[in-house]
Amino acid sequence: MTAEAVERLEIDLLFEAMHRRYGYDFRHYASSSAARRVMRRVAREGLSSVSELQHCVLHDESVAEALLRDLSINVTELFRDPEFYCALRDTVLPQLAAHVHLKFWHAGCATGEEVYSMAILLTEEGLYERSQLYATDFNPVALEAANSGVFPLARMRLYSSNYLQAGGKRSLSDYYHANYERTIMDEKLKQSILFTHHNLATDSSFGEMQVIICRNVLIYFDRELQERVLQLFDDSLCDAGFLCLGSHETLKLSGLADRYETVVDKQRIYRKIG
Amino acid sequence: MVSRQPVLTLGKASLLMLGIGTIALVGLPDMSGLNLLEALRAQPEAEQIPVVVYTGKELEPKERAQLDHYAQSVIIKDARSPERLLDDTTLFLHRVEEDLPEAQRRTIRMLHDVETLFAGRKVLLVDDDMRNIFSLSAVLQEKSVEVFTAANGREALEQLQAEPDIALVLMDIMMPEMDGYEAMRRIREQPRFAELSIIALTAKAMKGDRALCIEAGANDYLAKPVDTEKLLSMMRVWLYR
Repeated sequence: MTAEAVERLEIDLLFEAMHRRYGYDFRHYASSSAARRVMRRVAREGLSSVSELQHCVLHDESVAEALLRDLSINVTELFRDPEFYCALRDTVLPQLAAHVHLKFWHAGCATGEEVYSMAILLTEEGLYERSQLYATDFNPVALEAANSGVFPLARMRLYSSNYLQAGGKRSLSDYYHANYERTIMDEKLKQSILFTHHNLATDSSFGEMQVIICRNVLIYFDRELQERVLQLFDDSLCDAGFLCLGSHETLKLSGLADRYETVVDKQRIYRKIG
Repeated sequence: MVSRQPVLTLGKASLLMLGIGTIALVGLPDMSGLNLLEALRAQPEAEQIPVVVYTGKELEPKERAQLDHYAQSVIIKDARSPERLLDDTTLFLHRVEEDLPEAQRRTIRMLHDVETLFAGRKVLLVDDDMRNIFSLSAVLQEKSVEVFTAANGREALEQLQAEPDIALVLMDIMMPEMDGYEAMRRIREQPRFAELSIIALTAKAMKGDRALCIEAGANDYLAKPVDTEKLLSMMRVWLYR
């Protein structure tokens, strides 16, 4: 067995340990990005192998905690990829206006920036009152942070710029209150958002949505898990419902591809037809 | 979430301990706010407690300077101030909480709490069809849910009055005597049930009917015949809050 193969084996065993000991399942994460993060943690702990990290993870909660954080890093911003929100505003939302009640699912919402962005967008387009937003993640601490609606003040300049580029009709500051170097999102934005736990690797559909947004989450999964998740989304989407993926992701390679038509290719917005 | 016990009594005011810090609402009939703060700071156990001042009074610069000396934040009452006060307090407590070392260790342990979502929770099933009641009860009891039942809207209301800790209601729509819409409207009329999760189980499939469920007060809806897996998933979602 080559040295590389041994290292891959060690990583598999590490994830098995993580799963059995704490319940967190990274066994189907895409190997290269996961491996990079694991090796970084090995280095940071001053260890010389993944097997040593496994020992620490099993016996020291704080190391397990640190590894969990490493593996959960999800770069997110309010109105990240402003063109995506422009596309929603111009192309998707007008088609939803005929519905009396709308359900949106943000799958893998992490700390919530994306769902708050959607809440703001829906408010400005007059659709918030008839919308229910579900924001799910497998990480309870991220969910708690998302539910608090508290973000660092230092990020607001970038977020304000994103908001304006996304076609924002007012000022981002109309939607938050700032103090003590942080901001808290307006309570009104939270009213129709349900932050709740859901594991894309193991859990089932919980309802029928008009729009599912899952951006930059699937890239961390291997093909098998990606297919499982896309099937789950398919089960959770109404006819003519919209599926929105991240700009580096695609539906094209999936077995489900022919059940969808492309609405905005560049923003990876698809609609269910089959 | 927090236990409320009086900590200090100064004049006619009792300061309630709210957990990490005490928030004192200043503006009292028998003692000026400033005197209260001075007295507070003089107590050894209260020396370090952060204070947010909330006042209807316009403050002169000298008063403001004095208050700033004792208080972390001063908010002047206006139309938006109740929300402002809550936001400000939340932000302040957030800052305090993040500094605690224990906060770092929580992620790993929290997942266990998620898995025990159903056990011991109280759920009310409302349906006039006994077969549905039996089959759903069986499924839920297998998850260690404590199941309560009602055959119509009126009985549902009675059950809710009798059992204070019901966390979730599964509400059939078409029932005699009082239907699901009416029952939900009546439930939502009572402020203490504002946070109660209600999932409507409706045999009617038209889009407008589903919207009617939401309008009547349901948080969500599921079409009959009920897909058990979907129902459990949906219940997990609404029980998590």
